[in-house]
Amino acid sequence: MNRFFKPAFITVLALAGIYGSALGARALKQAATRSRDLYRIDTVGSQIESGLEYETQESRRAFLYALAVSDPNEQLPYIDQARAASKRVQKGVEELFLLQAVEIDAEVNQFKRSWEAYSRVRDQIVATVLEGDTHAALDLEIQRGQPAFEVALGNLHALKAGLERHASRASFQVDAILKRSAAGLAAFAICTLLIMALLAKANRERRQALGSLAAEREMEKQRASILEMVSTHAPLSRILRTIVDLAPKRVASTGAAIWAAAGEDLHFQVAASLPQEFLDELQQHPLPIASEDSARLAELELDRKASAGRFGLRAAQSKALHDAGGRLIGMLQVFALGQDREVEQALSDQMAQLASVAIENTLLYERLAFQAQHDTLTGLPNRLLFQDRVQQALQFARRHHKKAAIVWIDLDRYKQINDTLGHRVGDELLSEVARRLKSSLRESDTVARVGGDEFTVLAHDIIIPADAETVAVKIKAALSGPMLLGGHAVTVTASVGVSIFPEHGEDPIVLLRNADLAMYNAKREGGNRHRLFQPALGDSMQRRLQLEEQLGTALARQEFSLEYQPLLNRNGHLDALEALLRWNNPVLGRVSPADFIPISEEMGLIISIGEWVTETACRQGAGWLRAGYEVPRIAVNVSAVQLIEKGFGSMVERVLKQNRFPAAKLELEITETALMNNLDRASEQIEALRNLGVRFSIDDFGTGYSSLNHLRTVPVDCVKIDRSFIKDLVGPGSGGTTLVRGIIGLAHNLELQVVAEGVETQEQLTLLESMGCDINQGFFLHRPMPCDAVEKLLKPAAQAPENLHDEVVLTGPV
Amino acid sequence: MGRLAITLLLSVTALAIGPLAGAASSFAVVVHRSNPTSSIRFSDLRAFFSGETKHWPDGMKVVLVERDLESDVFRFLMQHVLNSTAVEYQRRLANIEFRGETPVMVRILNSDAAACKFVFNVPGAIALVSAGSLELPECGAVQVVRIEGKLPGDDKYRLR
Repeated sequence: MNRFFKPAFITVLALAGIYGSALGARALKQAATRSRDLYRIDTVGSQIESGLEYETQESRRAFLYALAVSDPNEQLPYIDQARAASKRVQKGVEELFLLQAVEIDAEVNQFKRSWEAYSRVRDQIVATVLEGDTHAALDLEIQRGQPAFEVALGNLHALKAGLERHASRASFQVDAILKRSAAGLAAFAICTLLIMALLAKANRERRQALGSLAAEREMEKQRASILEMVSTHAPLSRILRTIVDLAPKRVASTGAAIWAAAGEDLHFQVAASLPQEFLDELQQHPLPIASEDSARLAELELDRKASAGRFGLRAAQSKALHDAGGRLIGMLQVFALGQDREVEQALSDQMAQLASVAIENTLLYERLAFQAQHDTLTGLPNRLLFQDRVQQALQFARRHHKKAAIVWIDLDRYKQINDTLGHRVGDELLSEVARRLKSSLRESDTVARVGGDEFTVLAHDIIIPADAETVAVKIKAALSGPMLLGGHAVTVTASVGVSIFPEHGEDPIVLLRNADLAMYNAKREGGNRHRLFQPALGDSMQRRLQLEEQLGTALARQEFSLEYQPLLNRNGHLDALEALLRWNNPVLGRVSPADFIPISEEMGLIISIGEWVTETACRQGAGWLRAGYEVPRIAVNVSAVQLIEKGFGSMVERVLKQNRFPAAKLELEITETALMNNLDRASEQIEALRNLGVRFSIDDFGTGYSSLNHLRTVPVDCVKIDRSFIKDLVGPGSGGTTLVRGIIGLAHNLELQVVAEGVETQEQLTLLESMGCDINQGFFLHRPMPCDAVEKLLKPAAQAPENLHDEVVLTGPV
Repeated sequence: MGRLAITLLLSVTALAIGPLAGAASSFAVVVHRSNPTSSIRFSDLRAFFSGETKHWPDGMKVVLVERDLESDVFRFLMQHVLNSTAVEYQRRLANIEFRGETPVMVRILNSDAAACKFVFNVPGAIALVSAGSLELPECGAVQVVRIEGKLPGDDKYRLR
């Protein structure tokens, strides 16, 4: 039996052993495959994922820099960097796909899609910021860029969680399989040695893999949490503290210190693992990062090495931290007891990278926050910050029953300086003005730049209005000395307006508006003076300011129109049509030309308005010609400002040509005053246009210089006697009649036609006809009328309209 | 015999240098790759660079890439395209704004490479660059526009 059973038992055992070893080997093979899988997906995947995390932040950071600078030449390199990092992100995503880890495919896909979506938004913002529309770009960034980035970041975190989930599941599976194989091996002792040897080997490898994996994973976790702190703008000192604490966590015998210059503060953080005395010494002698004195920095570094030695430490790594532009922003030093240089190198590289990102990000946000509240040219607070300061000052003044003054300063002739000496000098001037204003006022007063050449001052502790005046006088005195700008000695004066709390308003907006109105009053009185706000002046100036504001955009909003008043000759036939400008504004209603023409002259708008009138009148005239009407002369009023403008003649010529309107049918009316203001220049322009065939008449004759002598020398065709003379025509023997008869006689002697303006009664018309007046105009004959009413007065032309098209448009003198 | 050899040598040199010299002084107009406008007339070019044309036919805003006053490109633009001086040109642009119209956007860049990069990034941009710069990698991703149906290097190309 023994003989029979033993071999059988052995055979059974052997068979069982073979079966067991086969089972064990299969289980081991499964475990090995799973471990490899685990290593491949989790370690490599984690590495790729951490690279992705860094590159997404890198791309974002470069993109934000591009947003922060304003010159496209500086923006472009940042945009390149953002794109390059973004490409690396896409590459990382492809590498993740190559791992063929189906468990995380969904997360990878989701991140890929969200990153592509963010990239598209980013490119759109890039285009907007490069176009120069920073406000739109910032809006887009806030509304779409930041949310899209956050979605992508969220998906990246989900991907990371997926990897971690996968790792723990795989690790759990490996454990289960190994347990199974161990049980099999314990039961089947025949294969124990062989299987145990294999198992021990496999186990060792697995432990090693899992051990380094755990350290890596811990480091990655720290890294991610630091990057998250950076992206949520945690305080810099807290972030740096977390970074220096990485050193002893990774290698027990190390410690680190970081010095960072952000804004005006020096941040200093040191790992608690360093000896206390050494820590105190580091604290007492910080590295002068902000000074950028590299020689001094190197010297201090040497000192530091020596003192580390005294504490038995080795100054293992020393790294300068730079921003994207190469500027020194901090310093990292790692001190060690041991000799594991490779690990120290990798550790300090990672720490330096994280610290650079954190410091640079803090600097960027400090800069953005400053820019949002300050004027970039002068560094002064902008309107937003100023209003905020005023608000605070008013609260204080209210509580302590004090006064405060708002001063509004507008430079006189700034535009002229800018136009003649160039923008660079203009900018230097503004900076110099800002400097002088700041140095002339108390530290507690706020100076702000609220517009092109407009500055404001908030003065506290005003007791009586005279105190506010003292401030205004100080400001004027500070600006009075000549300034040397770009090789030019420039002198500026300012118009200064002052409003006082609480007398002139209780809230910042009202006080600012009233100070502005007071300044406006100073400017109207000729500039270079200061004025306190007067409540009575408020309304009229309000109206004037409103007029100015509306007038600026009236042309673009097509609020102007023309009406035409017929001029009749002695036979009662239509001789000419005077084009009269009308302005209908949605806010102000119909505004009289007497109100808005002088303002448009002061603002310089009259040039473009005048051009519009000439253009519209000629186009209308040409339209009537094409429609087959017999069109009389069309008279257009020309202002003094237009007449001396260099391009006036060529403008008229161009308008005539473009509209194919015969020059002989255009008459330009100029006032005596306009003519006499710059007689030589005006005569030149008139002469040139008359050579084209354009007629000229003197408008409102008798109200200006009335120099009859000039009538001989000035090249005009006609005089229009002012309505005030016609009003005096009350009977054949009246004084008015004698005067008008005299003017008509004189004009006829000089071979000039005479027009009587403002004819309102039959009696005036009869008298004028008896005195030989050539042409009459006035309400008695016709009121000004819109163009469709004019059409009813026009007669069909004798000539066919087609022929008119071929007519020579510019004719010689008539 | 000697004179003949010198004449031949000079002719060959002239033939070799001629195209290079021509290439060096000709200019190209570049726009974004997605811009459907691939050919324009010379008068259109004027209208773009004088700020009169503010939108592309598809409604996109025009962004003018301008170069610094001292550059060859800017000088060529003034003398041969706009027939204007720098001062007049800037005044004209300022006048558009002064008249209350929306001004065309102008961005000043300091090299052909930067101009091409800018055009690559901004769909509505248009820039004039030296034709030689089209070889630069930065100019590889933009579209060269035909002027009167011709490209730089073609016969009777007008921008040279």
